[in-house]
Amino acid sequence: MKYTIRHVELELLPERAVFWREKRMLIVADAHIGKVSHFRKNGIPVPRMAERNNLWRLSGLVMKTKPETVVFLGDLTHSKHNKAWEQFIDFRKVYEEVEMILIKGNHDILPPEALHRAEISVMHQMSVGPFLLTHDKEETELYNLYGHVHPAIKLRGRGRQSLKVPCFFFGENYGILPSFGDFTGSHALKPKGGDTVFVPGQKETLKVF
Amino acid sequence: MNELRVAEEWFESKGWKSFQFQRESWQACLRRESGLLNAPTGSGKTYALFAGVVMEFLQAKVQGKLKKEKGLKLIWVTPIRALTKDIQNACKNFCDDIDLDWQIAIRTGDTSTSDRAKQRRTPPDVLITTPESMHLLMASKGYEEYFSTLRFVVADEWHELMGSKRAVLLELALSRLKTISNPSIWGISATIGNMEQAMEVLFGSDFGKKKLRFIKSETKKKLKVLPIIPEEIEKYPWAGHLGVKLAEGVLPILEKSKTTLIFTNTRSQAELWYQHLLDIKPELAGLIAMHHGSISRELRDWVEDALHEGKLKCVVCTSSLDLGVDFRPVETIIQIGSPKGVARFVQRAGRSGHSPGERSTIYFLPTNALQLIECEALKAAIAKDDLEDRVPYIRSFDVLVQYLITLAVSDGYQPKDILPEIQSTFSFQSISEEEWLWALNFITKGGSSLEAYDEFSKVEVMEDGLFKVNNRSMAMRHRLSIGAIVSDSMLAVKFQTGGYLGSIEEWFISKLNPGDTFWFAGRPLELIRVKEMTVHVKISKSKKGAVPSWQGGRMPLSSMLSENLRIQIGKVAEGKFDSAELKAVRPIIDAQQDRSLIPSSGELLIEKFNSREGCHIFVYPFEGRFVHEGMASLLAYRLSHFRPFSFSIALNDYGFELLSDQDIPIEDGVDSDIFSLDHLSEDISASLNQSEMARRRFRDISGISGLVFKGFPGHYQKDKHLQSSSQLFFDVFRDYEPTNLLFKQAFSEVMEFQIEEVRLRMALKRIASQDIRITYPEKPTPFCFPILVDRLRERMSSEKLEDRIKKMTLQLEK
Repeated sequence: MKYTIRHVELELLPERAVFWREKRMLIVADAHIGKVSHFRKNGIPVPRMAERNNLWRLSGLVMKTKPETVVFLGDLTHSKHNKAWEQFIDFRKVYEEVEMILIKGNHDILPPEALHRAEISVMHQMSVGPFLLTHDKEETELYNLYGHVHPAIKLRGRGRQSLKVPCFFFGENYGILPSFGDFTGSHALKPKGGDTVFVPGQKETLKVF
Repeated sequence: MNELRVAEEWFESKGWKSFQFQRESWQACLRRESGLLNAPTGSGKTYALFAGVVMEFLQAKVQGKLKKEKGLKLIWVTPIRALTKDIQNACKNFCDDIDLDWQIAIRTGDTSTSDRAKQRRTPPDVLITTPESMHLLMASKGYEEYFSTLRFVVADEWHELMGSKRAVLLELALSRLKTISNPSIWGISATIGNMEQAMEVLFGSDFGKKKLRFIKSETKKKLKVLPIIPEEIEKYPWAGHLGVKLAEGVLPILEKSKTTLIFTNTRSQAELWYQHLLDIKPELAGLIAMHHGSISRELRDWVEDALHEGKLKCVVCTSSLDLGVDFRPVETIIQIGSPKGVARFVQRAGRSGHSPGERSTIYFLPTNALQLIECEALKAAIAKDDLEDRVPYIRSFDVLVQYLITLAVSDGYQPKDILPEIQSTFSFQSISEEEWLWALNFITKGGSSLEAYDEFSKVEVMEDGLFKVNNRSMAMRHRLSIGAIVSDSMLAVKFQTGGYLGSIEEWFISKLNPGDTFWFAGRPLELIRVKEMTVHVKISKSKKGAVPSWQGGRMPLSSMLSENLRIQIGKVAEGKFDSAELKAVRPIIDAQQDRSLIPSSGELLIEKFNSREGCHIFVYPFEGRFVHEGMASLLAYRLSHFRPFSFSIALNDYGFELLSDQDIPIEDGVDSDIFSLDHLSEDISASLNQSEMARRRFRDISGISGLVFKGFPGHYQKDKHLQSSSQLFFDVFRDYEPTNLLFKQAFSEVMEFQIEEVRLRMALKRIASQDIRITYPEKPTPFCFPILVDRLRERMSSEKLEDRIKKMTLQLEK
């Protein structure tokens, strides 16, 4: 599904990420790498495979889109350094040629040297084209793309059916990306007139509002 | 010499006469036997066992058989804290009178830390406690020494424990105690349908091997059931579960009787009734009170004391007063709405009329017209002594995992020592080698262990093979989550000026904004702010406000009650209106007959019609909501063989509804034997995969097994990073570890308790012998109306996600 913001065409991928083909830039929000390890470290037995899956999905996405740059819109990691970060570094090495940028989020508390080892540059915000990329909402003249919220939307249909699904949420001057991580919750938003909402399905992204 | 002298003389000194069952119990205790005492509340069951325990001790002392005179001798386990005080008083009275210097202590969640510490240093002679507190003791160092002098364990209100996972906690604790000090074990139980199984569950592998006594008290209480019949049944609502329309009819009953208990099924209903009674009769102020599980302990204690002293005219309560101590001034009981089961109804009725030979009186207030038939069914069931079975939990791996960590938190253990004990319990008699290894693996390696290195650490395996928790904060976290009752995240409700009112579910508060009014503990409160785990409020001037609706209270109609209900429906189908209740409900029955049909005992009724919402199918098996839920999913699944459908499902205790945006070909379904028993298990599992039932069950499982941690009290924010939802866990296990026993347990619990597979099979078997009658009513019928207005719905879909989303986009939720 393609969506144009201020004359720039973005692809909204069903993998819960945005691809800006013209710039070959992949934008991923709230991956929460290491959340599973963090839980396990504290004696809560989440299957480890859940962690692997995040990286596999990310890896698959990079292979599919072949980006020049990957921008993580914050909360790339969930907490302190753990095994999952080593696995991330392994993943990083496979795609050496790709530039990776982290917009720092509230969960990103890894020390600079750990990030350095992953050859990932850290910024608080980043302006590119008509966009300001941040973790959480910022005041700006530019079009603000951010994550943090883990947006979802509730749908209702005939026969009193209802469904809560993660979504891409676009307002007049801001857009919110769904969280990329598997093991993360979501927060339901209510769109108003002028908002546009897309839902990532199993194979394609659909416009619902 | 009379060996029962001590107790006999004490009874004489009180001017009482001992009952046969008491003498039998005393003798059995003196011989250090174990068994089950079948006696109702208020029959003198406490003395039947306590006096026996004391006499056995004195006898052993005289005979010089005691190794040690000091130390813990008796653990008295009760399911509810409210009972502990009463038992303590009874025991104290006896000891004081016979000059026995025994210390009788209580240990529950309410016991202060300093008292607990004192109990640890010098063990009392008698400890009155709950299953959870017993496990907490086992989670502290040196617990084996603590229990080494134990001679007796009494499981009070065993029938109550047995239907819950708390019974599994007790079974496990007993299995440990049998090794440590081999105490005699006694259960006390009211009469239930499966009395023999009650013994089997309590004694585990000893049942059938060891000589066990069954002692039955001969007292049986007389019971009178009176319906409150609406004057104009035509105007009485067809649906509803509040019943406040009939409140005027309650006033003369309150007038007549010294004290009345009004039982409601949910806490929100109790709040509403309390408010409403005060509205229609303001003179009741100060004479009426409310009692339910979310109200603070102090307030509840006050209500209970006032009840004892006869200061209250009326108390509106929930199951929180089902059990427990007797309130002598209570003369009358009113049950609002369906009690859902015969045993519960009888239990509640028994809260009135305590003197021996006195009759219990209970009024039944229907909250909708059809419940009058239920009243008639209750009477019939009571006359036949049709009491329900309590279904025990088996293979509750969540509780097992918790227990294995509990033991590792205290002194640690060698698994080979613990396994035989666990196999001796009823719950885990069938545990396999593989399952045992899984459990050990789960607590030490966190499940699948494909890789050697990992950071997971809960229970560590020491060099000598000892399983032990060494991390202090891990141990602390575990102690806080011991137990088998999982409730929603609760917030404390406090006045801004101080003063604790009770606790309330987080999801209710999250819907309110500061300044909003809600009713709680019988008062209109204005929300000031929510800070961490506390809701700050002040008294509101507004009289209108939201009433919190606590979850729960959605239990199904029992098999006994529904069977009797079907008999009554069959009777009215034949035109037999032979009681006041049935005569009163006749206009409603006529309307049903007029618009559709009253099914006779040989018929199953299906109604079909279209509305703006889509195509509705109603089926009425009268089997209780759980069976209906399973049957509805099954039908939805089988219908999807015709073509992909999305259904929403609604149900009550009488029937269920399938609603779809497309025409539902139920006629074709009936022709192709949609109710068939063939491939039932496969079809149920297939339909379950798509349903939410197992997911909901998993909520409790993840809490008990320690997957979801609720946080330290008072440290809400700090531990937030470890909080997660059971929903996420469910998805993760489904995707990455479907062989996880906790995940699988969710499905077997759904089969056993949610779908009640056995009952479902029997219902389908019955349907196979019935004529299926499909009607096409033009207007909603009295049968379907209550289901139609029920907004709680289950979803089920065989369509692709994308297709569903495409259909739904047009009607986005406002």
